[in-house]
Amino acid sequence: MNGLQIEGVIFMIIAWTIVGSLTFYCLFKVLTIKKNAEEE
Amino acid sequence: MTQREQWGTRIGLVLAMAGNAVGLGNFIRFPVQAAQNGGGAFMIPYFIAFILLAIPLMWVEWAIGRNGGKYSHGSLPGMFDVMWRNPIAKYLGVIGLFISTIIMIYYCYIESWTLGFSFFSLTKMYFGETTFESMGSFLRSYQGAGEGFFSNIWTAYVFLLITLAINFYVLKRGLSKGIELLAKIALPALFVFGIILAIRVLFIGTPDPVNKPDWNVENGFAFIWNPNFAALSDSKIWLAAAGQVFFTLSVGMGTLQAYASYLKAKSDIALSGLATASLNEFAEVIIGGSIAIPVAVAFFGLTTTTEIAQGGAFNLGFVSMPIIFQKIPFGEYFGFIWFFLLFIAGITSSVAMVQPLISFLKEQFKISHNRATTIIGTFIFISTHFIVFFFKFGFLDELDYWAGTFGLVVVALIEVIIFAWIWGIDKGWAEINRGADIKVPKIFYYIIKYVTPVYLLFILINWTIQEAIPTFLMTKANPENIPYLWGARIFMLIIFAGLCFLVYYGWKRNKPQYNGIIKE
Repeated sequence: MNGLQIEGVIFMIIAWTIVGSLTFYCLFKVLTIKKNAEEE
Repeated sequence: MTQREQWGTRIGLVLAMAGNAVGLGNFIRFPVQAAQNGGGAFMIPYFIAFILLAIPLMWVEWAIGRNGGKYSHGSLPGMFDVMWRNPIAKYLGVIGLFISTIIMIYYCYIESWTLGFSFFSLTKMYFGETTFESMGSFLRSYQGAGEGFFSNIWTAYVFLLITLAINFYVLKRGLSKGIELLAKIALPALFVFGIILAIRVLFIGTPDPVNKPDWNVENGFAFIWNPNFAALSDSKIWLAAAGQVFFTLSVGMGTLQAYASYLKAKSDIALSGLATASLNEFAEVIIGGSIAIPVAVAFFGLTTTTEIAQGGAFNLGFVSMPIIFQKIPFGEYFGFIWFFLLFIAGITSSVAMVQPLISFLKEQFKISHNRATTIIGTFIFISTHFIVFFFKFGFLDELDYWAGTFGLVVVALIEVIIFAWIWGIDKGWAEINRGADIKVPKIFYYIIKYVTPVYLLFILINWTIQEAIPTFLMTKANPENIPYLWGARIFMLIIFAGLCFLVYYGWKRNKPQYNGIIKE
């Protein structure tokens, strides 16, 4: 193995970006939308 | 109709659902699967399966659960009965109830190992077992499966008792004060522990730069992420990716539905379901992929790590990692963090596995929460003895295959067919979108109706041919184990028959309340 190839770095960055941004987007929405159990 | 429990807060619900989904597999199964199946290229079928299989199933299960909750059903027999007014529907639901019960019976034993190894790390009990052979024998002697450090099974038994006690203490406290509170504390702790370990791994670099310059963390990440595009032409890789995505989200066992049944009729499920899936993926792809395999390559090199990966996830988690912790400063604390992280991942999943059965007993037999928890706790306690004492004969593996692997796909296929084809995709789509805080793209209407069932059918047919038939015929079984494997099957049949009887009896004495009372 000759270290992390550029393709490997690209795959890792893409996967982390997709998962990370989806997670933070969802958590942000969950925490900021003021429609909780009490209001329904 | 009696008032059902409710989730206290929305974030508590999402964390409890994510806790249910995040399990040991996120940290020890995913990196092994990625490394064995094409590295970075594995992520292509993985994300395709995530979109076509995982997210649709997540929404389907939340929708089935919330709809069942409207009729005071917290387990699949009642939920299917509501959606399909056919006498057979509730018995199809029994498969889900059966699976979560069986998995709980053996999963709590595996969970107890992580608690035991947390303690052994802090007390440096395995320090000195520096080879694969000696650490392997330490583990096997703990499990009662071989000679070694432990002369009997009682240490493992004590940790099992502690694990069961914690599980049922949480469950006795109920939904909001038990499960939700646990999730609010445990899930953030799990992510903090995971990030601490991942950062520690990043700074390990090259432990022996003079003699073994290739043994480094960079090559560890390369092992997981460098893509092998040729592997994509192999159907095995696509099947492995679909399997990993499927197992990681805890779909197909009735636990997500049980949790969702405690939502109000107009609570959002679209955003919450997506948040659950993405939190699980964060734990798996970002944290899970950055710990065990990279550090194993840094300390053992690529060839040995490949052998470790082929030896299975437990080999990586319970044999290789303890050896590594002995080689790094403050290894006892990092060892504790690693195993306690696995314990948190385990307990937040195991409490979910009991919830469908608790709901079923409470709702169908009108018994109190305390009594239902005590009855199930006693039953699980007795049943785990088969796992503990027959472990070395493959009893656990047999249960894990039929309930924890094959059965999950069967339930998922049944539920998506009932949801999209029998109940009807239009009703199902309306249920997913009721109270939604995000707009679910219309393409998922067609994915749920056509793609997800076909995808699941493809997986089921392949696994039946490749694994289920040889496993059923015991072609690879050790002849000495065969009586115990049959024992495991009889044990499962008895539990399945018992649950069928309870459903039959429960429906007979307690006519479903939705017949003419609640109208959709």
